[in-house]
Amino acid sequence: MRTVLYDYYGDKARMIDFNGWEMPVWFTSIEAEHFAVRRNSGVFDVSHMMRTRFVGDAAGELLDKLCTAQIAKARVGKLIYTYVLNDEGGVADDGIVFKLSQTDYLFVTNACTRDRLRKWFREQSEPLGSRLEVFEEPADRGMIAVQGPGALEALRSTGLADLSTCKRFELVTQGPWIASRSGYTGEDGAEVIADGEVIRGVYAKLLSLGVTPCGLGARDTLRLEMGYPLSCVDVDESVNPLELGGERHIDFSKEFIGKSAITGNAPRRRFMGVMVDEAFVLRGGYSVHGESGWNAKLSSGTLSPVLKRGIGLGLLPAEAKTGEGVTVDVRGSRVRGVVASTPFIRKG
Amino acid sequence: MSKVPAELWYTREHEWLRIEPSGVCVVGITDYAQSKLGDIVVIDLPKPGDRVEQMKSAAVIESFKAVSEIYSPVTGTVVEVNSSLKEDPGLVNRDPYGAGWIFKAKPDSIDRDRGQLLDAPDYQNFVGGQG
Repeated sequence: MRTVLYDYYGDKARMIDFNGWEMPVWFTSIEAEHFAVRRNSGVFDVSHMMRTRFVGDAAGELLDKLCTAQIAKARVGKLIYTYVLNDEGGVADDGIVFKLSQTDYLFVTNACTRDRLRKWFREQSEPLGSRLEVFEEPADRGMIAVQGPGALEALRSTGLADLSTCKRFELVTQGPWIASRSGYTGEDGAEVIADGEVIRGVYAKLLSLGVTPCGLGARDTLRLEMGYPLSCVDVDESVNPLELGGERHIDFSKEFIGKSAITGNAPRRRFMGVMVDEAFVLRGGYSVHGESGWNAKLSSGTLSPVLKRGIGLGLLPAEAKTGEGVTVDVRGSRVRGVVASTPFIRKG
Repeated sequence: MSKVPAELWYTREHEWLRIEPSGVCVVGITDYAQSKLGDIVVIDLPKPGDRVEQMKSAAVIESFKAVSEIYSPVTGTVVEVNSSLKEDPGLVNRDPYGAGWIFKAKPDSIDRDRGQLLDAPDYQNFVGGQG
């Protein structure tokens, strides 16, 4: 599948298949794009994200059943980070609900779980009949993320939206576009969802203002430095949200699918960071050995461009403690490191 | 379009080989290879004195996305490695045929090894075919 920005890429980007989407992985260099976002501003095509509208008087009620976080009682104009659990309490996906009105919601979830969630949303909405409509955004709409210390100023300069008075995780919307102060990089910035023509226009203006076009490679190194889990890579349905440390995104005062399965069970493993002492690239599947005798595997990792050290994420046994010494098997060598708290780098 | 200098020899695994007048051979990876790999962030070099065999792994390079072997274009003995790559592996991206060279080896028999290598036009055709 191709996004509304595909024609722009031509020979400017190295492309990869990402869950069925032809996406740029980098334009010039992952490291250069990473630092552009940390120091100035970069723009990502994130149109591959699944975007589902829930519209009708039962929309809040259904989302409260599907999501661990409180949706119906949240304020209009808020973005709400949430998990979607299966009946066994496993994380089917994580995502962000955009509350456009009391009866109109946009749920942004990951590309890798599209088929599963499409079926799940349909099954769960059917009993509510005509009380709501659930539909995906058409393919001629797109989504971009402009991220970095200069991102909001750049977006304002395009003339589309001024988010300077908007708080983090809030949105403004006007006719066919939505702009929110959000992202997946740890930097301040915005995400814009709109018709393809608007997205292409804003993207071109951002580039002319000096915003760096960025690919999914930098998106991954940026989210890894922040310790954010990536669905289908770090998280699958065998993982429960408490293992991810996600208590603050769960409202136990309401009913939701998977609630009984996760209630009263202390997690036996926790999603944590590992950092090695040297400039190695850590990768998913690498084995980690704790000084206190446990073994685990990383689910993802990289070389942190900022720290110049290998960093990784994974579910470690509950006895693993921040600061504990570890060794990581890196291509036949044992490399020394520690269990690290995340984010690996401190922002603002 | 990636650069393919005319005076070098090439492997189908995208290493290049320069034969110096002394008979020592310099090895690196091609412009095409570095552009496919993206930022090279880690290099494990061989040591002077190590034996290398033609088309067997002699070094390892890592980009953000992948771990790749570097295959020796010749059978012989390593005589020097580019130790500046330890501090700055990105030299391979910036100057793959110059400052980004990887190691030098003294081949046992360059005449025998050369039969397995591609000249510049053949390598150009080879990567052209790989799109």
